[in-house]
Amino acid sequence: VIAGVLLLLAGQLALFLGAHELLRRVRTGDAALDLLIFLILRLLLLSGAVLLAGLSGTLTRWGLGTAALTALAALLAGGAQRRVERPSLPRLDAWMLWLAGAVALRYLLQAWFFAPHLGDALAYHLPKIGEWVRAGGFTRELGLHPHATFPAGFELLETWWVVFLRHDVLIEMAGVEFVVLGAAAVFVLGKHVGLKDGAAFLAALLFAVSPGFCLGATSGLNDSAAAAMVAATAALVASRVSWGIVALSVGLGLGIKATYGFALPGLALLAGLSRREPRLGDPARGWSAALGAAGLLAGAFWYARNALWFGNPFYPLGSAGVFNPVAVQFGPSVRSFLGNVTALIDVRVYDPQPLGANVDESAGWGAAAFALGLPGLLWNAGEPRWRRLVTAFGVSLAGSLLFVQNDPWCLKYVFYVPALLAVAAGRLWEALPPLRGIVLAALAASFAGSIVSYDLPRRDLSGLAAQPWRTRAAPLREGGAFRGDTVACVGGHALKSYLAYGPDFSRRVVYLRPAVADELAAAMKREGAELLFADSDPRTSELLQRAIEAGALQPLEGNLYRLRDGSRK
Amino acid sequence: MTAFRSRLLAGLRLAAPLAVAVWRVSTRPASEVWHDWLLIVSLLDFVSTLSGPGRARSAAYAAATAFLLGIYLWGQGPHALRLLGVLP
Repeated sequence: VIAGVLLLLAGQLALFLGAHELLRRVRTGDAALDLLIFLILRLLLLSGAVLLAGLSGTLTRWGLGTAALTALAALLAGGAQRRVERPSLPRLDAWMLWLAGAVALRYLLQAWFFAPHLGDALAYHLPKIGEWVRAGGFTRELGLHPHATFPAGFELLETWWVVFLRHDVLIEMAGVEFVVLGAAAVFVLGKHVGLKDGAAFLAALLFAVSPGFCLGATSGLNDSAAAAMVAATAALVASRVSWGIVALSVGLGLGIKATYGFALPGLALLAGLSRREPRLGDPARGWSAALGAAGLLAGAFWYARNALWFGNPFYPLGSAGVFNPVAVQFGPSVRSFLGNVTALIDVRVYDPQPLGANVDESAGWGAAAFALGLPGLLWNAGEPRWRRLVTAFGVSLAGSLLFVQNDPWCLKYVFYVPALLAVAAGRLWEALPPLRGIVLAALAASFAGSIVSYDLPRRDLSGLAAQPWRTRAAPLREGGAFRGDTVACVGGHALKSYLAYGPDFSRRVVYLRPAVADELAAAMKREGAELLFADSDPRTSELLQRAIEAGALQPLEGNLYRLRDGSRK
Repeated sequence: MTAFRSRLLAGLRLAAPLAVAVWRVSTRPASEVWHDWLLIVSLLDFVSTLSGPGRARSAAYAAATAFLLGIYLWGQGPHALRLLGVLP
């Protein structure tokens, strides 16, 4: 563990110095904007490092660690540390720093005590990380969920946080990184529309505690990461940074989640509307173009892989004959748009349900966005920069709502909207001092409302906190516990197979796709798996029933089954 | 900008929030109209446009935001307090 921690720290230092070296080539001279660009460059380096390690089969503690140490040694030998300048800090009241400290501490506690627990994360996002970490590189096997082939830019960050320790105790730090990115983007947007440091900083904090974004960030889902990238791209476009840096952000955003792309029409409009604004900085064109190309390459990787493997970059969406019970809309739908808009303005904007990362039947925008952000949109609405920003976010929102199915969770794809609403609240804070008590009350409400998620209730949270970090893992809700070296998994989208790996990835997981019961027992025998983990969808249940009747399987607790002794010979 | 065009724009600026308010009043159930956020925001826009910069506009914003915060907390507050264990 100590070696893992040291390698992780070395990796972080290499990322810091490397990103700073790149920033020197493309800096704008605006401290806040440069911080945002630095964070995006760091994201690029991190994603690139894990991508290369995954492709080269060196995605291990010492594989990636050696690369990190080598990069760090080269940077130090080149004097990179001597070129790090003291950043100019915003002028803030002490209470704001205390508030920021409380928010930061809350996130760190969430990252430490939360273990992956959400169904989508356990069934679809994370099993691929289990496979990669165990194999020490990218694998063809990604798990049983039909969406396991979706872009995995966020999973690259999660992998970074687990590979050195070979343990997932810090996996939620990947989401925390995007909270920092999103808050920095909101600060830049606030400054862009003329806010002073304090009001822009408060807006950043309001965004950081907007409940949906906050709970999503430490849930293993990638929606908050995609939202932070939309806000970051908006900040870069509005500030008129070079096209290469914008392309870098767009590439990384698309690599995290395709839903990021639904917001692009608004961002393109923002670029068009802002074309008369002066460009910030004079970055080296070659560097800017190279970084843009690298970002696009990193983002396009997943689509190219799918095109190569399946002949369809968006696989399984748009591919005929794929069994996919998890409904996802492919392409625009006016019907969805109308349903989504109606649901948002009539019901979900009030957050009428208990909140969680998936914001079931709610928006998850929180008290500040609702009570101050929405009316704040109108304050001095004719101010050109504000009008452009509101128009662009409106078009992005419309684009997202046009492309996502009208289901109870559709508003998790627009977690970027509270970024604009936070800036709107910041404008009211600055312009109307009598409203400051209301702003603080709304901030307190958002903070309190995003402490406990309905899908990780206090009882479960206490259970996780009570476990030693080495064994901390969400329990199987249906009962039972994994044992043995190898677990076979069979089923579909509801199977939380990530849990089978264990938090230290010590268990081998084999994914079986048998057509008949005989094949199931034979495959388990071949793979040396005594334990079977299966979900309860009708197709799997029928298969299991036949295997049990044939005497091959013995039901244990919950969704666990044992290969009978006779079948093992 | 001609005086006519300027008056037309000012008229539209007032008519737009009123139109939204009328739409909400006519389409929302009577029991829900009083806490409809879009109605509140459109009325705020109407009042602040009519009053122009000054204390009346500040007061309108203070009243509207406080009311909206109350509406939000009325709906979401019990859920959050239950999750925090403050309410059973």
